[in-house]
Amino acid sequence: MKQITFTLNGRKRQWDIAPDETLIDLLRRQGLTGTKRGCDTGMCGSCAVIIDGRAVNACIYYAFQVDGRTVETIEGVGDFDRPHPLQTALADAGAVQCGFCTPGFIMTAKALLDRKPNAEDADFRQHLDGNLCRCTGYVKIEQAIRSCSTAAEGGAQ
Amino acid sequence: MMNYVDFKTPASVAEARALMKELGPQASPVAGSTLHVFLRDESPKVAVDISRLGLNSIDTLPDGYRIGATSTVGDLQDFHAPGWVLDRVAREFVTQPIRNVATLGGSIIRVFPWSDLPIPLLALDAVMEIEGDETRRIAAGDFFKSQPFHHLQSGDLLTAIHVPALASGQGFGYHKERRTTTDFSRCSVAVWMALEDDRVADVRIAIGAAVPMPCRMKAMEQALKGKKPTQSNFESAVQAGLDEGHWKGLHGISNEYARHLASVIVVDMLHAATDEAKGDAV
Repeated sequence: MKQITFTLNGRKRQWDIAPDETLIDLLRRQGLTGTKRGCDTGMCGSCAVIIDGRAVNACIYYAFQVDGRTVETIEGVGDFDRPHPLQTALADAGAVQCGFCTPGFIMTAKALLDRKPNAEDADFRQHLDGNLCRCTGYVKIEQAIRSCSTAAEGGAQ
Repeated sequence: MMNYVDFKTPASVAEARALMKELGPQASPVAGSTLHVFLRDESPKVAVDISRLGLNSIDTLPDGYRIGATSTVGDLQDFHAPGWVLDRVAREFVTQPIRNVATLGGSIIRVFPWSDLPIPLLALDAVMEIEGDETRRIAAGDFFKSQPFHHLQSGDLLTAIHVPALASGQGFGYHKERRTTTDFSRCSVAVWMALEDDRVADVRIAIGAAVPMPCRMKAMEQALKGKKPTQSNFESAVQAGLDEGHWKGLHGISNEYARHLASVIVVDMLHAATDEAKGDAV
């Protein structure tokens, strides 16, 4: 085991990791199970986290790569008492069925909206092309996420 | 994935090179890490994180761009400048979370039949910069003749890729044929063309996925030089040069279909490059 230091959801962490451990293994081993293991090959986006402002699939990212970096997971986004606007929008739109893909969608959409609050349809389509949902058919997810852009009718929530 | 028994995080090219020399074959350079999903290597390796060496900028040169090898595909996608065409290629590269970490260097140092980025680099006649005991430059045509990592000796690093900017009268076309965003390419084509007096003054055609290794289609290029950029000239040049390709269908398509697919896409991309060269590109 070897120690790495990084910022996780705003707090500095020093954790021991195995050299061949992936980031998703590390997060879930530490009890952060909001990051979901889907395909384990970087194809479904359910394990998306934000590293240095960019959405990344934690299943194909080694834990050692976050040394010195800033990581944000779904646990840092919001909770029942203080939901993030994306969480509220998804719940209000009925965009969550089994919910397994939802954290990944939120992290990917958040990474985009943090960088471009006035994101437009083309931005969403491009940035969410790595998130799969097998329940909803995407329409409600897309509507909910789009409503959080300042470019949406009525502005961001 | 790989069997990493340790990892190192060098802060400079010199430090990374020294480490890799010291570790020899045990060293495994890691930039984005997305490549490692496809690798199965049980032998113990030491990961050398080369993502923090300052090799991730895109610099403007008088005639083009020098792209740091650890620039991500997302960086190529977000960069916009005169004559820059790699954003069009980057957009078609898997999905956003992968574009955010996969690097240009990592995507070309080990080539798979379906690799995306060697194809535009062949068409653009890019030049790779390798930092060894001395700095070496290798043109794309030589770089992709065999597995590119064979060009590297212990401690060598691919540090930059030089691509020319499109000049006036030049055009570029790129198409990747796939069913879904995460699907591997079935056939990818990149075309660079220069027109003079409404004739093809120079053209480079590169193909991937429908052939075992990305390659130039030089017989087609030769047949096009001096010709007017018309549908019939494009079709006859492509038909005349098709036998040069070692067509190999991937993911359930026949070799014959791969050949046909390539012939259709090349003609389409010749038109796309022509339109841009004439200033008609959308």
